[in-house]
Amino acid sequence: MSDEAVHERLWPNADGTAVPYRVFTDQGVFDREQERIFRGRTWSFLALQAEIPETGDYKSTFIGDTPVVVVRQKDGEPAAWVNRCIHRGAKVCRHNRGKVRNFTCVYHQWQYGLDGKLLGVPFRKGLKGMSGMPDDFDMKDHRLPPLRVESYGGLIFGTFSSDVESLSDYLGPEMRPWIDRVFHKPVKFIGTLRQRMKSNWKLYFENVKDPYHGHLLHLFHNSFNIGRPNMDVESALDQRHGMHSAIVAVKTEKSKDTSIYQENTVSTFQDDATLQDMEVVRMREEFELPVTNQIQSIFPSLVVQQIHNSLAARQIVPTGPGEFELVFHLFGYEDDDDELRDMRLLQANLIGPAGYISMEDGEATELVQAAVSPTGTDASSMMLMGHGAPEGHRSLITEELLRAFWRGYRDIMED
Amino acid sequence: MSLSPRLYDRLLVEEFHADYVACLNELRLDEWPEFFTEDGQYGLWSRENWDADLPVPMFLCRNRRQMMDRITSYREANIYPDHWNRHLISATRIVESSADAIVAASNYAVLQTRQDGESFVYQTGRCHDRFDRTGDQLLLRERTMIYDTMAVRTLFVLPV
Ligand code: FES
Ligand SMILES: [Fe+2]
Repeated sequence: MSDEAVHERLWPNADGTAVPYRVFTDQGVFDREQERIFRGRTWSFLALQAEIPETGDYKSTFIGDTPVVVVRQKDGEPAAWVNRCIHRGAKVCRHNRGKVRNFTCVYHQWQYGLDGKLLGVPFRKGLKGMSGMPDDFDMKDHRLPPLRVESYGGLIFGTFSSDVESLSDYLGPEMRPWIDRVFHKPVKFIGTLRQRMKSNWKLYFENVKDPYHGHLLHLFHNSFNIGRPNMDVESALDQRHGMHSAIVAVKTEKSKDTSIYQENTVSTFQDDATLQDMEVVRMREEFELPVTNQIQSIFPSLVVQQIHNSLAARQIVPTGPGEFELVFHLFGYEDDDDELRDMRLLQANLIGPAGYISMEDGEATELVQAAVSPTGTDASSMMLMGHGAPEGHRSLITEELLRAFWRGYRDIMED
Repeated sequence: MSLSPRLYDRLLVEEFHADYVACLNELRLDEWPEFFTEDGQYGLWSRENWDADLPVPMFLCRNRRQMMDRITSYREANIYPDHWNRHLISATRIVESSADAIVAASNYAVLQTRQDGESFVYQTGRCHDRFDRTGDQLLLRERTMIYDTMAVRTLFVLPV
């Protein structure tokens, strides 16, 4: 078979309506993603500014499968470097988070500054005049591989690329206002939730770009009469490569209408179920725009979430073709009053691994992974909802954001 | 021979654990909130957050009604894989005891089995319990579970 024929079979359509399942299972694809996406011309989420407020505060994390550390420097700016000793490759920083003056690799105690510069090598001059490092070894020439680091809002990003555009341009004019909305004042980090899925990281990206599944898979709102699919929904797509997007639902009066479900006989709708204690879904209006849900995905590693008063930066860490970790960084604002602080803690029940309205997502991605994994599968998906519809961005019933994502993905991976 | 009050308390708490665990193992979920006082609190925190004084829970019910709501939601709304949890609670220690209250700490593990028939360690951690006591009758005023298994496998459905 010619290269073209293989390619044809892999990507049956160029318009993003069909995605070969192989991209979810293949180790070669995964390796190429590490090179082209995660170590390529993209910006990845590293931390909230509020997670490392003071000099020496650090956090270990990953960009793709590469371990990195992000550290607050003496000048107040964050910096990041690859967490791999330049001597013989040991992990230099062994803790998830903490505060230090400098870093020491435990293997042979090479020492590094907060900025990753090499500060010390034991027995560099040898012992009693014997051996040691060669005379021309100069510590100033060596350091842990640095990343480019930039911040936007309360978010710190890093990249391995020296020529990718600035972070602000990378986010683009369509995405920035939605980030600004959530990060409109200083935030306070309130904790982490971690979830490990046995599925491909892109299935999660599909999930957060898919408003169509929302009220069909997640029945919590419908079952308890809390929200309706005909609330005003807007989606925004970045126009440069189509990889970032935001889905935003705004409360309206007409959203009390349930008839759409009855007409379409959605099996899961229950008109009579009620919650005994509505506190978990009580929302305090705290933004100018009365948004109940905002799910914004910033390719390749971040989802910014506002669900009622629950705010989080969700980080996607792929660990293999069939496995990823989802890390929720939850936050509030520094000036939250006691009641709001309490509400955010209770509303943590809505999201994360036990989330009333999110627990199904992990399971859904695993259902796909399980069915597309058998070797020899050269089938692909079919994403036609709202294809060609001009008003797609004002509807829940569309897969346009997914198609845009896959077109962009294909361009990065294939060119 | 009579038991020391301390051992007696421990037996009471261990008996309570046995009943609690049986209720969950047997999926008698409607009965689960009845192990708590009306305004009893049930919450799970990752060890990571707990040790760093970060207040975010993974799961939190501040009263019995919120517990019932979880159960209603599992029945009416949430979608999750069929699974069975087997709960083990051990090494219970009495931290404080008085005529009307007991504070105790224990270790716990939850083994989970899904449809494929394979069992795995779903979660391990410790629980800190505050009981209201009326004679030999105990009710949880507060159960705080701190789990070591930081990265939750896929999802957290049933209370542990
Ligand atoms: S590997 Fe780090 S000091 Fe040797
Ligand atoms: Fe979802």
